[in-house]
Amino acid sequence: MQRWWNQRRLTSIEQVGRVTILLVIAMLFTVSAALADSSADNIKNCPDQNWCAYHRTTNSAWRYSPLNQINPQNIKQLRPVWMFQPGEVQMGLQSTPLVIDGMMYVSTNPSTVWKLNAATGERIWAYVPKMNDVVVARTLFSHARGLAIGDGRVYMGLADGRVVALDEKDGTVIWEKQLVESKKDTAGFSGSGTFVSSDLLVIGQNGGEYPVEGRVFGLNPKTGEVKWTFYTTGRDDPQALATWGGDSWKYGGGGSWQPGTVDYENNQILLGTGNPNPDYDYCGDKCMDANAKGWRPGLNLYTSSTVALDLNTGKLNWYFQEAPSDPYDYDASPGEYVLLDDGGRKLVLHPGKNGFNHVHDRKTGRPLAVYPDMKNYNWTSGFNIETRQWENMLWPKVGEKTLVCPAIDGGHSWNAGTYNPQTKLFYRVVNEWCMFLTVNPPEGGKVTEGAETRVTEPFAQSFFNAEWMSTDPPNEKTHARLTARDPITGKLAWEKRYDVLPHSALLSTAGGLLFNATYEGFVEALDAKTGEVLWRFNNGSGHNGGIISYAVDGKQYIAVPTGHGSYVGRLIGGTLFKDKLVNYKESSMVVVFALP
Amino acid sequence: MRARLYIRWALVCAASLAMLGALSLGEPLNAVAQAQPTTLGPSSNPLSGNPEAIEQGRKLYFTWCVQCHGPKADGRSRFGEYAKDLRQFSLGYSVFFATVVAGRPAKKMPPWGEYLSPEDIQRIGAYLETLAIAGANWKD
Repeated sequence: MQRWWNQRRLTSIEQVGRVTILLVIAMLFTVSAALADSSADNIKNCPDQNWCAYHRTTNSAWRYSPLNQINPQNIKQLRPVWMFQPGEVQMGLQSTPLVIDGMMYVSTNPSTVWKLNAATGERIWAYVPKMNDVVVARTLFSHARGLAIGDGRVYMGLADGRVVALDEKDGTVIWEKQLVESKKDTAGFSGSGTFVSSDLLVIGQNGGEYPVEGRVFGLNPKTGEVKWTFYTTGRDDPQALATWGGDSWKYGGGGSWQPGTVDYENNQILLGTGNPNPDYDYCGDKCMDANAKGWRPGLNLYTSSTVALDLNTGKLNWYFQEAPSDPYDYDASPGEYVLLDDGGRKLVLHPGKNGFNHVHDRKTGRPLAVYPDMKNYNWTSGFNIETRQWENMLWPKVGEKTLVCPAIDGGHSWNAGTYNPQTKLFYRVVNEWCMFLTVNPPEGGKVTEGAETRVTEPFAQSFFNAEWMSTDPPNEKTHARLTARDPITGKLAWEKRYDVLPHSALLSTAGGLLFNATYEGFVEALDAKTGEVLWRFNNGSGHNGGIISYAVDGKQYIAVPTGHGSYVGRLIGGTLFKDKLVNYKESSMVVVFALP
Repeated sequence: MRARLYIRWALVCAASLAMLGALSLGEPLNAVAQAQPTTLGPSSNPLSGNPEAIEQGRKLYFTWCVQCHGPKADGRSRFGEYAKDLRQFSLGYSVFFATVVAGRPAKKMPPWGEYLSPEDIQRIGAYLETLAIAGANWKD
């Protein structure tokens, strides 16, 4: 076949006309490309080719990519196309990268940001802040799990208590604010913020392990100015303060160390708060009474809770406590807030560290379904929807070794699941493990992790007030299950067992695929409908970050943060499965895949 | 005056650390410490064996050190086995003192010279000596 321009000579008028059409088409493409930037509108309505926020979208947290070029028919051809090694291996790579218009932004530990060409891995810039090494060495949380992006700025909370905004183009600092006095509080930032709009960035500090006042900040993204602060232990809120014995709220921890999801319709953000401090108390079955003797007697509102905060003021719209007076460290910060619509009902789903999935009316917070995703739980017999109470709670007695399931590291850990609107299934890794917990007596003792008593001067020390050891659930070995459920009813479609616990955030795609990554090294693609493993690749190291998908120039990519590390990861690799993960060492890399 | 004394101590200690920098603090691959109590040799710690100092040292240890080095001082905490096993500290009292003062931030060991007095560090050392197992050395 001859090409059209050889078929006949064009007249001048025709030539001008065609050139004009081509120019218009070229302009349209240019405009289209210009629109797909990190403007507030594009972050709120994330274009298909991008990964705009920690959970891809700020307003659903589905971790679902609408791209379908890679599918069950061609998945076996998927190959690695580039790798990135930051050379910073301390505690592995725990991040979920962001991608905007062919550029990847990824954070590494303790608080570094990289901009890479998302098609080639070429380094564009790196932000390596000068940090207070002493503070970074002291904190348990010297890692960066993610970034926020919007209006041409990349936002990160640092381990030393600062929040910075970087110029997307060259990585220069636009503003920097010291929001947590980490030199005194030891706590800082480790999770990503949420870019809500051109006028609001929300980010929470960590802190449940430290005797400090946990906070969530609403910031002006242009300047870093604090617009509002939500105190997770109830400052200025009589309802909350009445649930703390004495002034224990001042040292009550909490915080909020993973990003929330924006419910624009109700002008609120839904997020989880951390556990109260100390993690364990000696008041036993009296702990819910604020007048009992203990470090923090009372319900300890609003710790270990889902909270809905007004975007304009940071005021509380509703809350739901996932472990009253939390005796187990089932803090609610980990676990994504998945927004779902069900025949007109506007819902939010939260997989909790307590091993349950919680479904709420997202306007009122009313719990509609609370069902166990975990099989081996013993801390409660379940949640009664009618009375709105956790029933038959287990109260560990001081000085006695008590079997508690799930273990402190959670039935659901902090790496997220994914919801696929095609299959209408929610996929999540749930861990079947327990612990023997021994709570310290009031006078202290040798059974302890962290400081023996509350230490706030000259700086806060982590304070757990107990000793615990991981153990298997009754009658079976510690293991994990990848469950595929109807997110609202909890009906199980299929499940897959993992003998070694995986610790990666999942990805599902419009190509009908579900991606997971194991601690033995494999990234794998499953058929989202059946759970059948269709493809595997050995990255040569464990996984602790979030798998993403994006497209550049029409080509779909899968990016997988790899590397051993994180506290849960260390427990998996360094303690529980040492025999399988021989000579476990920390590592860090991004591996990116595409079709030939 | 006290602050200056600490700074002087820190400088002396940092210099000692620099000289000892070539020494390996590593462990053999998959080494397992034999948790057998041992009869400790001579110690250079002036508070060695002092019962009052040992008890004070225990309290200090469980305030400032236990987070990473663990309740048994064997380097195992809930956060893994990433800290030095202090039961078999083999580099001698001076290196112990210097390391506590100046820290090893690259290995996440913070410097404590600003917060702990020389006497407190000696007390912690006296407590750790009581946990010593084979291979420990507190003489320098």
